[in-house]
Amino acid sequence: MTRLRRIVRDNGLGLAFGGLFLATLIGQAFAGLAQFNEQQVAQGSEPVSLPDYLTSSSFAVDVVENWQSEYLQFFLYVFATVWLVQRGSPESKELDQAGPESDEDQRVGPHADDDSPGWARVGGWRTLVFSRSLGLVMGVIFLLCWGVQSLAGWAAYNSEQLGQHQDPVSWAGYLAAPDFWSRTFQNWQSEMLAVGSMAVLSVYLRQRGSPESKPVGAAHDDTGQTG
Amino acid sequence: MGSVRVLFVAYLSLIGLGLVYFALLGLLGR
Repeated sequence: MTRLRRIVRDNGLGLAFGGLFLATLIGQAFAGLAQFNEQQVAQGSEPVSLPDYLTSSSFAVDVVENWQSEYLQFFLYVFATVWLVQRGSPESKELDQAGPESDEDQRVGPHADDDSPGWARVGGWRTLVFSRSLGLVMGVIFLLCWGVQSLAGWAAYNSEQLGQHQDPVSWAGYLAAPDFWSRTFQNWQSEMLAVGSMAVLSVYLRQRGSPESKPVGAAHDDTGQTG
Repeated sequence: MGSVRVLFVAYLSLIGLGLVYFALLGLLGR
């Protein structure tokens, strides 16, 4: 196997979804531009070019409001699955393992293996941070995205206000505006439904060969098994 | 593992650069 082929095979998931992300973002750019210009014409304003749209707060808020909810989803899922279990679900741990588990189970400190990461072995604050780094990073990205949504949404809201000859609002004013919370909740609700569905539907349904599913022949009652 | 590390850094960079870009669009009020 050539070096390039091996790199592509080793990184199939990361490369495929990175490519799909870029392709769908381009799709959003063109569809968003068409929608934006429909509104411009309806308001009696001039349509804008693609570069103008890609550097607009309207494009920014439409992208980043979706980003924040996805990272919220993973942040909540990573933390919730430490403490909450779901009987029969491959997304759940076994029913008696709720909680952060023992250092031995987690191969931390003196229980680390030869090839364990340094921060798993070293103890103290570094092991404490590394032990929660996946959820922490997802949580930080969520908060940053939500903050950026508020900035871009504020700018987009005010340019709409000005287009309709209405007064702009302050950033604090925007945080209390229905537009901010409507954009926020419409994204959050879908994430909660999707995560709950994954936990519950995977009890009785199977996908042969997927690590997101139990083995096809696993009992419905089996919890914490992946195929 | 070299290529995996590159992908890890690429994903975090993409998110970071995207956030800076979108934050600037908001702050500049475009």
